[in-house]
Amino acid sequence: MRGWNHLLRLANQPRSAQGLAAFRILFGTACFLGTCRFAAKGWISDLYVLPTFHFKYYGFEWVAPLPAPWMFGVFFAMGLSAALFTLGLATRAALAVFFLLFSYCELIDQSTYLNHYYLISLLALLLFALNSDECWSLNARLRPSPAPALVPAWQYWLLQAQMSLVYFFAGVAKLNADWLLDAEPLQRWMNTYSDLPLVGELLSSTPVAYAMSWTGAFFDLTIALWLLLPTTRRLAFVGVLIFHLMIWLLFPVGVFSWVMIAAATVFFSPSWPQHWLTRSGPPLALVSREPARDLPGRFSVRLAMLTGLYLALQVAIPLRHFAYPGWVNWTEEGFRFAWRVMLIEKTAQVEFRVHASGSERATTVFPREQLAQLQYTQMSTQPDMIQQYAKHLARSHAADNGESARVFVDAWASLNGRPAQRYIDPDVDLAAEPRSIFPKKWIVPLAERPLLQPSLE
Amino acid sequence: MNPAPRVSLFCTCLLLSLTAAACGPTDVPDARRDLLQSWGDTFLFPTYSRFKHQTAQLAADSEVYCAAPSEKRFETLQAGWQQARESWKQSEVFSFGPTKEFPWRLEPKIDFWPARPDTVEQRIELGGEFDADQIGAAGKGFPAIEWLLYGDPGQADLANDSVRCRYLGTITEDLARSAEQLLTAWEPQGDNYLAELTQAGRGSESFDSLRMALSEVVNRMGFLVENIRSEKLGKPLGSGKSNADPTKTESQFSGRSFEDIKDNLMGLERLYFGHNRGLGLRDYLAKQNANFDEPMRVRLEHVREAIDRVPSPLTRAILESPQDVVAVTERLSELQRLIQIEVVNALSLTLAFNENDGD
Repeated sequence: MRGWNHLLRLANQPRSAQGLAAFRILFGTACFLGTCRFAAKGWISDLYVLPTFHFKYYGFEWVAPLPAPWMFGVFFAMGLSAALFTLGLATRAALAVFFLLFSYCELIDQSTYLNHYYLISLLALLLFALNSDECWSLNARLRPSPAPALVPAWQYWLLQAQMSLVYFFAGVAKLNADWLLDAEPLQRWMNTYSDLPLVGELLSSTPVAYAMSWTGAFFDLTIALWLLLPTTRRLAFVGVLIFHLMIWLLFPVGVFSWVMIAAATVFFSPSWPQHWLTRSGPPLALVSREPARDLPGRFSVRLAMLTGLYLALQVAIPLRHFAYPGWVNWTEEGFRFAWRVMLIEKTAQVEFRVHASGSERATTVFPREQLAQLQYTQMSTQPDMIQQYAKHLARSHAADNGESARVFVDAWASLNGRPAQRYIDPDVDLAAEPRSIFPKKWIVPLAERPLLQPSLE
Repeated sequence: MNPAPRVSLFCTCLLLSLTAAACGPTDVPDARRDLLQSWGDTFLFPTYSRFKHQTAQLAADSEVYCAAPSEKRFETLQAGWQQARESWKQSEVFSFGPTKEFPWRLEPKIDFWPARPDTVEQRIELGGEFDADQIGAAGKGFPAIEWLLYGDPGQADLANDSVRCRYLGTITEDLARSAEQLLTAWEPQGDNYLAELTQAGRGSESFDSLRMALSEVVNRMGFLVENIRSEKLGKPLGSGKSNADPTKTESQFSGRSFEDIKDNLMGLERLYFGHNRGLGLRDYLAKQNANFDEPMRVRLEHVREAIDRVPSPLTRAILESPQDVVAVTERLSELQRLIQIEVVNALSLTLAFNENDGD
């Protein structure tokens, strides 16, 4: 009980609200610009309007895209809500709207999954739960108060815990032989930059690929710690800037780098913006050691349970792949929502054989004919999506012909430069296999072959 | 100086170098740019140029024939069609940009298939003046000319029917015009579509980066093979409950279906190994420490051997020995796998046309 009371006191210690507000503004700006960029690139149409088939998340099969004009409206509302919470006007409502709309769009089609989109959803949800508009917001301007804007310390802790988990699990995911012993897939990716002037030769050299692989793993595993420690924070942030700007320059990751740089500020002293703006004296991290009674969003038993549950899930979800046989980078069972970022170079070719009942001959279906390019690319390397499409083909056949069909798949894949091999058991009727979260026995295990140049088998 | 600022100084320098590299001078050599330019100079321009001259000759020959029909002139016409067809099919791997996109969109005008003889016959029956611009894609291009030269009515009809012969003249001239437009669309002195590839990342409207430009061509190599399997062999062969259908065959009247496929593969082979002393994809792969020469050679050979085992023409083979046609599709599948999985993996060129963000 004493321990709980002590924790409660620490969690409710008042902190400057500026750091939280700055994060809200930086994050909101990235979300707003990201939404505008998404629309400007024509992806609303490409990903949500034009496809005639969508890959659904297990349990979310009911989520469907709205008709075309409404989908554009959804993105308009998403951009508007991002602008509103950036400005701090009706912040909570705007964050709720943004979270719901953003998550809705992500749930429409599995093929659009990106780790940083998932992170954006989580951060929006967390900001919704926090008091991020106590200062530097239109809300604060509308109800001015002579007292300094404060929030309880736990609000920073929660964001720090979230970001620490992201980095840590991204680091743990890199602890494998391909990454550490073969510098793959970085070596492969960096080779494509061999033509860059000045640095091309350096970037594409093997020692640099190894150095980047090991440094990347070390960075992800420990950066949260260096950011937390006041003595190393400054240098660590320089590291964050360099790391994410390099990623932004070298790889097509969209707003990912900017979201991560913005999110690194949650590790700063809560009053860092004041210090940064005025450059007067050291930042005052701790406003007071005594919990203020009128502090907004005070920590409580209920909040402790909720945040505890949330963080437990955030730990359990990235670890769930241990419940599945085989290497997660190959089977992709437990791959998503686990911060397995920039980890694999996987290419595949998938075709389906639809056997009408009572017929020996099969119709070969080339999925590219129906699927958008992004959908095909994503589906071909992810067994659960391959099965979804097989079931879709069986349903379509039944609807068109009034009879059932068996659907088999010819799927081949190559991971990190390994020779292509069978990915899915070609003799299993995928349409008849139940869709579930249980291990998929029809995934062919990754052959133990070294990363070699191809030869004819 | 303590180590921390030194490390950050080094990293900052590296970052600045990268930024400078990304936004750097425009005349920096790049193997991908060189490869794309070489494909244009040594493969595409010569092939399209040949195609242009062959189609112009075909139009001229058809005029000569219609003026004074003879058996020999008819054979010259047929040979001309075959030669032009060969060039066109070899270039099919470059079936994007001017062939597919507006304002050119030349592919339907040149090669709308399967052929629709009824459309051609209906238009001829109507008679009057023939304006190629008023004739739909199904009424002109290679398949319509093929019908007139190799179809059931045969040479006698063409020789005795001046309207029919005039129609042939109109659509061969139109084909020649399309071939000329195609070359102009790609050439530097014309619309210079090649620059869309070679100037990727430097103002190209179609490709944001050289990676995307190279990806387009390499992926087209794979799609071409898939297209042969699905459209040129799969659809005529039929599957499941549908029966084999010779009317869905490419070059069905001339019996050139397998030659078309071999020409497609020849184009693909020239892109991979290089042509006319130009660069090939193998040269760029070698820079990436990858070598697929042997598997590529062997798989192409396997496909050709499988084709040679099928009794030609394809229209008969799909009915009489479908298992041999299936064997060709299986060999093609192996070739496609090599390109779309292993070559693409080695080059880190994920198959994408509308690149969304990664991770």
